[in-house]
Amino acid sequence: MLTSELSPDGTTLTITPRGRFDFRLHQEFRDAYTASDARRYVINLSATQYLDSSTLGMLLLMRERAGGDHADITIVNCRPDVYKIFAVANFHKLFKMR
Amino acid sequence: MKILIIDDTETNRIVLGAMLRQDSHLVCEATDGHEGVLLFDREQPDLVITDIMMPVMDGYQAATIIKQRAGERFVPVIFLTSVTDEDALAKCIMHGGDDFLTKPYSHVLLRAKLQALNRIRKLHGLIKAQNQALLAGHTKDEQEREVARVIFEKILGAGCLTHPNLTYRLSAAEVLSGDLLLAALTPHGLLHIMLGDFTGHGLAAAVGAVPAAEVFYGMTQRGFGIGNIAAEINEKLRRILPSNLFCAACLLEWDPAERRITIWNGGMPEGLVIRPAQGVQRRLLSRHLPLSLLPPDQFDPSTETFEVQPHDRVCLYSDGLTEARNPAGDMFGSDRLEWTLVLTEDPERICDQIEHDLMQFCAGERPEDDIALVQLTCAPSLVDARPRLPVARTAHANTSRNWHVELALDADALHHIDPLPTLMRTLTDLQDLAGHTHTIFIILAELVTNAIDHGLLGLDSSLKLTPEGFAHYYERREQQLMKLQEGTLCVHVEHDREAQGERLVIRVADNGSGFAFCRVVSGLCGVDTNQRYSGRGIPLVRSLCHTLNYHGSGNTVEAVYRWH
Repeated sequence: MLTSELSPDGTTLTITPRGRFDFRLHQEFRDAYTASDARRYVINLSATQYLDSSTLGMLLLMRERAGGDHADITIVNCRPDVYKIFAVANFHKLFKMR
Repeated sequence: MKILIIDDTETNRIVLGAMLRQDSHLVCEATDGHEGVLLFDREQPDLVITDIMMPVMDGYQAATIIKQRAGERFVPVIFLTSVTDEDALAKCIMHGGDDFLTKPYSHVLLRAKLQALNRIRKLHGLIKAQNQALLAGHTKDEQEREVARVIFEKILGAGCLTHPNLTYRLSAAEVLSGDLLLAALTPHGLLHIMLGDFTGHGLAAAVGAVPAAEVFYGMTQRGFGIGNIAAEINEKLRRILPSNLFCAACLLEWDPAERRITIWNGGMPEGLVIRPAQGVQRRLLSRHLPLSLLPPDQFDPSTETFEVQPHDRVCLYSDGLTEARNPAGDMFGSDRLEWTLVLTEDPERICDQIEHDLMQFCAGERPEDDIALVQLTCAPSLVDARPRLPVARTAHANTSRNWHVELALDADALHHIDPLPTLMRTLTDLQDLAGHTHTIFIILAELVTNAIDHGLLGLDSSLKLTPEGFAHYYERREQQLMKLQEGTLCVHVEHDREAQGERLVIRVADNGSGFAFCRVVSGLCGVDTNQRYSGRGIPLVRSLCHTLNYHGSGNTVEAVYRWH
């Protein structure tokens, strides 16, 4: 389950996955970001209960689709234990974390 | 009919009796008023024909007593008399008589009167029966309403309307309100509020409240957003409500940590965001149709999100409030309401003040429609003061027990059961995992997923090298899992309390024939060295755990996780 919201100017897409954010959501997640022409993406983890390594794969796929090294993706509302997972995988080098 | 004749003259009785019997009536005879009353009690006749002047007790007295004893039963009394003066005849009616006939009487006339009175008697009986049925129905109706009211109140009470940041007032035009106010917290501490207004009020409106509340509480508990909840309630109500019944509703989500409000308004009056000393900051307009009207593909779950300051107040209300009329026919109106809302700064007093203003406006008359008002104060300090929510953790859960749990699922069970939520629930029930819940989830998730994907299903991770392959992999996984005929997944979790802290041993085993080696392949999880979309799981677990070891042919893995 996730919700996505485009900013009024159409440039920023905020995706909020709810509950378990893992491979079960991959289709829905992909549909969310491929459906928009947004230039900036925000992944809001405030309502995310759990994620795992398949989530990391899904985020990498998104990053590539959004322009690879030029992608502008920010991960927000990350709880400390989740941040640790991203840090272990060095994801903070690829994504902006807030 | 059974007819009682009261007459002291034997000839009169014989002549009248013969005529009545000829017309196939049952006849009983009394020789004076006193005997007549006794016979009335014993025989319970349908009609009485009485003389006036008789020894012992006259006809007037007998008629009065008979009418009394008949009670609610209508027993016509006809006076048959040789008296002709008007006063005496009028006295017959005053003493409860229904008609009179003077002697000598015509048989034709008497028959006609009997027929007329019999008709009235039957009508009376019918009305009485209908009245009884109506009364019984009414009592039953009232009892049912009372049951519905209790259910309704339990539904409202099931949530957290007592949340310290909420003040509200609900008043019903009838026993049951067509207004519905629900509040509940998500697992992440977001507060959901729903204010609904069903068309009409009373029982019909309240019926829709039950499924709506069920969806609201259920989905809030599972962490869904209000847009999704609105969509689900819409669909549920659309399926069960008749098409003339629908529910205007406003759903609100408050995130205290982020100071954010999200709103979905379908057909409710505009909500207000009021800032102390500054007045109305924002109007929460209805942007959607009420619930239960649109089919799912046309339903718009989009919401509005905005930031609030700590002392902002958000007010939602039903139109029963603004449309309440005074005796002159004027409506209370949104201006008057807004005025009161802005001027009453103390959130505790707001409901009393509105009620007071409304009563004054309506000059003491009861409003015709249901009235609902809820106010949320966005002050985080109140949240901290709230009583701790009941959590899954029970009294026997503490941090010092040693325990182990084992979950074994065969192929058939794996078709239906996802082991991870079950395991996590059990673990959090048994142990306070403090800030380690997520790490423990990942360890379990990776080991269980690996055992299923590679051990039981024999899936090859190299599929995930391309974006298309990534999606394809999970489609295949889904299909193959449903087709899985045999195989068992066994998860064993053991907890010890050690001097240095807590220790969790997680053992996951499968009896599948999948490649074992791909599970022990030593990938790297960092993106610097691994640019692929997969292969991060086991290295990730290795970095999170104290030890991670494979046993046997590689289909048993044991992870040890320690914390203080």
